[in-house]
Amino acid sequence: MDTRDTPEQAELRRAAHQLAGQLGPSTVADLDDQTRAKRLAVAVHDAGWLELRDDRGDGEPLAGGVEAAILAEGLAETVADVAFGGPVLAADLARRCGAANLGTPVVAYTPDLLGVAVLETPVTTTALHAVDLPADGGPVYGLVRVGGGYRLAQVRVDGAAIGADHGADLTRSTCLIPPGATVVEVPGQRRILTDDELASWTALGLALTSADLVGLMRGVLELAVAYAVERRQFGVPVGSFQAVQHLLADAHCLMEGSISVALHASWAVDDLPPADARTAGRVAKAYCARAARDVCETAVQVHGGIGNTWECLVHVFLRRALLSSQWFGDDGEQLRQLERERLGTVDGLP
Amino acid sequence: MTTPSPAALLDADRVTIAEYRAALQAWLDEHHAELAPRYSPPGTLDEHVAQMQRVKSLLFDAGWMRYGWPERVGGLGGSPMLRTELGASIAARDLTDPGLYSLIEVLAPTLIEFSPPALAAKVVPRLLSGAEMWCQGFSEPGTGSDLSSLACQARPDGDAATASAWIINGQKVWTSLAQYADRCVLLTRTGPPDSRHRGITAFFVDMDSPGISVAPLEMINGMREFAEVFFDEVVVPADRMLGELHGGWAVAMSILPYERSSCFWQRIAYLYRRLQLLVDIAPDDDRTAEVVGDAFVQLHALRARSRATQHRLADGATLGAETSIDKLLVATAEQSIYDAARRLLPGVVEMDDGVIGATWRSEYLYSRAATIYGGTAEVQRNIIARRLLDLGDDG
Repeated sequence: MDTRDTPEQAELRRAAHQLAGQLGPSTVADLDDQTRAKRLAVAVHDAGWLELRDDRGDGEPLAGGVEAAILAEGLAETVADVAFGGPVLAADLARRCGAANLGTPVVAYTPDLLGVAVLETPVTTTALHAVDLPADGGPVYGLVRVGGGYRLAQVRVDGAAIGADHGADLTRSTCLIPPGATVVEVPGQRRILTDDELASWTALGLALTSADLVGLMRGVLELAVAYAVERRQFGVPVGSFQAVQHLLADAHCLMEGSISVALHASWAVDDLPPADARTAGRVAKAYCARAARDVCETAVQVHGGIGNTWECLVHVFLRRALLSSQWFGDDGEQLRQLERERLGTVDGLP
Repeated sequence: MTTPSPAALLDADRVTIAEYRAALQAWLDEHHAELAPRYSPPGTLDEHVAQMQRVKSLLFDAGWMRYGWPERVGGLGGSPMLRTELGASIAARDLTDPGLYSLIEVLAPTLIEFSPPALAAKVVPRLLSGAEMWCQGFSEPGTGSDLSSLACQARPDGDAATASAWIINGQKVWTSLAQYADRCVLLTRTGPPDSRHRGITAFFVDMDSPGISVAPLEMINGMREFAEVFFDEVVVPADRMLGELHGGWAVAMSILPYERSSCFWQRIAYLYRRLQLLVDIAPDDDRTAEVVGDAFVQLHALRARSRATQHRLADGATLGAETSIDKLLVATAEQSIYDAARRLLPGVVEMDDGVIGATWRSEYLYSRAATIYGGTAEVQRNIIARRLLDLGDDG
């Protein structure tokens, strides 16, 4: 792989940075500004970014995993409160099933968010979660098992609209779907989703959530460094103390490592065989989830008491990192899966 | 009157900790229904505060709250470890929030040591019995780790030596429960602005004095237990000075031994309870065993350390720099328990809006501050390196 941005990728990176900088929240209070959030959602929609993984006509996506990851990272850098990963992953899943015209769908996940929910018709028997819903909700899809793989199925909550609940993340909507929702197979699917295709989709999920964590690390570290320069104690900036410098230097190293491993994972989505792409994604996620927690906690620590207040933007990053880590599995989960998939044991090493 | 409480049967000066504990546990069992919180979890801060004052009142009336405190402030005497045992027992039963309850240990010993005896005799029983709430006005916006740079000013209404009152102007921050408090132990600048720890004086200020305003701060978990407190020409009688003029640094430092011993012991009891709650709901498998085991080992080492610290204090030792070790261990153990919860309950801290999720999420987020409040981990490491390991001077 060539790790340099193509001119198109560089332009996409610049556009995401600019849009998220202009319309993302710059204070915690901005999160309540519905006008701004709506403008952000419209801008992301109008830029066509939610359609990146739609079918370009031959079954292949309009843009690669790297492009999608660049946008995920750019939006996370300012904790942009707009649905992106959720709809893109749903569109990618629909494309792999050969299903068209689903609107702006999102995926139904298992309650621990480790993957897409595999359902039985006619009704769900366990609770499910939808993640990163658009503000106006949207249709929710899981999978049903068929011979040779899976097909897409819509999850309908009878008698009530699927609305957002809260969770830890303040920037993206999640929604609990209680058991008893109707499951209806989507008509007109042109393909059966194979295990390989599902692995490839999982690779995209791991790459996008890793990219989100990278963006969070960039953004929160920038806040922490700025605060270390501005905040004075004992007559000098706190950033002049070696104890604080070392915290920030460690965080910077973790971020740089994350950038590289996440880029590899996003490239792998379209360029490596599915199982290898998924492995690359697991390695990236294992690294980024752990790193992002450390970096966010360092940012809290460098901010001192202020870092524990609601009005300090740092906790918005930490909270978003909690969701992005758990979505497709955190570091512990990835290590368990790697052990199982790479070493071939089900219950750990013999 | 009801029958005499079992507490009245114990001789404070002769009872052993084990005897006290046994009698206390029996009483707590017997009065479980009366003591239990009246709200459904997780509860609001208003509810937590009301619960704490109610429990203190019940414990005071039954005598338990008076063990370990001197008779001249309404106590029954005996070792301070008795009151530590009480704090730990009620924390272990989730009867009060140990963070709120520990304000007693932070503030009452200071009043007893530094206030005019008549004042302590009047007000300390009111704190112990839940009739009053007090707060601690130390930190300021520009004064976090560097406490001796505080700027909140007190000026005498005349000559400092003969002043009948002091006028206070300035601001405090991170003042726990200021919005509920009746009194404040306040550190002020009475020397020149650059007089550092030599020009600080402590006062015991009534929070209903004209010119005081309180603005609660919303924390990372949405709770508002801290506040900013503003002082605008607040008049405090001279007989409310704690300790000597310009002797406030000694008052501030006097808090450390109890904050680093009894308060930690209560915190540890609370953390054991949290770990047990986690074990109750985590899946029963090897991973839980490993993660819980790791947290347990940290908590156990901390408990052993804290026990030794308390025995040293009870034996008359002066606690100092070595309690920075206790501080680091308690912060690390606390975070490890909430890290364990996040790992063992996948999706709960992140997604669950029910009581379990909301409670663990709130406590997880708040636990990130354990390495900040009461002295940052970085400052503790500096103290350990410089004073215990003799690496460089104290700056």
